[in-house]
Amino acid sequence: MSELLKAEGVSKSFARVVAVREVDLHLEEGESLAIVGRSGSGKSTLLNLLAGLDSVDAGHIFYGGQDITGMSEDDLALWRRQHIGLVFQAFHLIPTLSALENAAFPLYPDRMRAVDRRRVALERLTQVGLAQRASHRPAHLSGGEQQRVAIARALVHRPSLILADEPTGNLDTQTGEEILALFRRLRDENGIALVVITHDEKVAAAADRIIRMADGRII
Amino acid sequence: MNPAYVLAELTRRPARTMAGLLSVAVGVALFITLLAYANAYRQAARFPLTEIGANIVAQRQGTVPKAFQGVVLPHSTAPIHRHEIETIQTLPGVQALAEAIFFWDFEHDGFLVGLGLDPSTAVGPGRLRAGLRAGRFLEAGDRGVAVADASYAAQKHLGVGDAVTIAGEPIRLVGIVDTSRAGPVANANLYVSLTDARAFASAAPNVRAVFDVRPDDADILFVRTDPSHAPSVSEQIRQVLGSKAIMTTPRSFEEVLGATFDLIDRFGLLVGLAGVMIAMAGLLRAVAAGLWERRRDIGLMRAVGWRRRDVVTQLAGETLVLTGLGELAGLALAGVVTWGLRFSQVTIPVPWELTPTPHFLPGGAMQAAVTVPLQVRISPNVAVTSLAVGLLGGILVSLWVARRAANIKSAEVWRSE
Repeated sequence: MSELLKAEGVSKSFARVVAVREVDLHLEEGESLAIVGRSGSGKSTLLNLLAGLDSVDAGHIFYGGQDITGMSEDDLALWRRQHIGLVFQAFHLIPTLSALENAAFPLYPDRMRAVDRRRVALERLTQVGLAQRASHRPAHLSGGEQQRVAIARALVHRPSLILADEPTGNLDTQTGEEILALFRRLRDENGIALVVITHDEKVAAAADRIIRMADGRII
Repeated sequence: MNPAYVLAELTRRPARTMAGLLSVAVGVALFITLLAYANAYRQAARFPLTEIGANIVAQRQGTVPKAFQGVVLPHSTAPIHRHEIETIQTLPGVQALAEAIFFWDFEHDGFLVGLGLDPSTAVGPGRLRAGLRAGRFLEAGDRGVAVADASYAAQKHLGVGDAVTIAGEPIRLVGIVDTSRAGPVANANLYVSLTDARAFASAAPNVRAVFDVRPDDADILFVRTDPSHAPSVSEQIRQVLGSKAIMTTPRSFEEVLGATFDLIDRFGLLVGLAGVMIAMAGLLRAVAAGLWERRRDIGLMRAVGWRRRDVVTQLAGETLVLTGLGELAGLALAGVVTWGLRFSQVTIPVPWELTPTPHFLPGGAMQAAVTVPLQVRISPNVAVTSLAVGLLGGILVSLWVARRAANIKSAEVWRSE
């Protein structure tokens, strides 16, 4: 396996508060990594930095050997669209769109025929076991179903890496375990690397490797 | 821009969509309606002349007769000689010309207003044949016959076949016409042939006493021109007739209305523009408020890989579609309002020189006026202008809002929640 993601001496501050302090980490292709820590430990900020949603104050992040820290916001957006799938604790589905349209959402700016876009999105919904709910809007889906739609959305452009921030945080225990099982299956079937932010040790235990954070540092 | 997403946002957030749509619709409707109303008022002022198929009435100011006995020419008229008429006929821009003799007849048993006309012309009083109510209208070659105005006939209990007297000569009534649509312009109690009227005038002692009257004169000319040439033709006719020329054009009616016209024109334009400004402010408010609600969605767009221009295109597209729908709704609303306004009427004062009744007779000094229906129509130019102004406003609003929205950073949105 080759190295997919690497962070070197990454730091980030907000005003006078240091959120992430000189973090180094790496991730192999197809590997799953759990980043565990309490609230305020800096793990979500680190995930935002790895996704290029926030800019680093110091250090570098490499994806497939390419330094992404110097890229423009639009280049980062394009990079995410090509390589990264994001899953959030709060799902972040568009309330006016159906499950199918939400799953297809990252493809909207692409020059792709609507029928092809729908086909790909339906394949992903099928993969997460939600094809029968494709026409429902988020308000008519359970929390677990909404998170499955969000995972289908993260998968729709066949990313190499999924970054998930507390993906089971808003779900009950049983639904959370189902989502974890889904992540495992997706990784096994598609070889997608996974970084999961969590404060739940059970979730972390499902990963290949665990790193812990406190006060912005890896401990 | 993804049309399905635009449609979803517009149809599934109905309150926001309606707020934006109504803002634009009311502004556009206000703009179109007010300008249509102002234009209708202007058209109404032209109505009395339009009704007789002319857009210039030319007279020469006369003088007070020695005595008000028999046939006299009203103070506002004096003979216009043949060579002057022929000069006017050949002026560039003159499309048609009708001659008439306008006269008063003071008999021992009453007073009447007479008009001698050429029934064969399509310009001027000859067009009054459209108002024929009984009998027949005058025809070429008629002598010794007259057509009576309907209200005069009713007042005098006259009917077709009855005899009246003009200049002491018996005249037989052959028809009754309703001239109320033309108002006081070219309005008389009795209409006779131009030949008869010329004979009455040229033989009348009280006309001959003050004028060099000739058998082929006229004292009122109805001239039709291309509307755009009317002012220049009017000026040329004025030069032919001299310093005592009295020219009546659509502008004359507007001048009688004076301040009213200015007020309607300025008020209509200002309020219309203010309406469009308010519409754009309403649209801006509705769209900006909507974007605040959608900050998380916009953050998501950026997070899942939408570039800045993708976000701008999508959001600007939504606003433009909303603007377009609002404009169509505004156009429809304006159509309904203008249709309703067609049931209203407006009173147009008539310049004194066209007033047929002597001022010294009872009621003669009262301001003559004609009441006409307000023909409120949406002009294609006004509609296109308002749609273009609205669209321009929509583009500015949409680009401004969308560009600001595209600067939203996903991480900042989520951190603030």
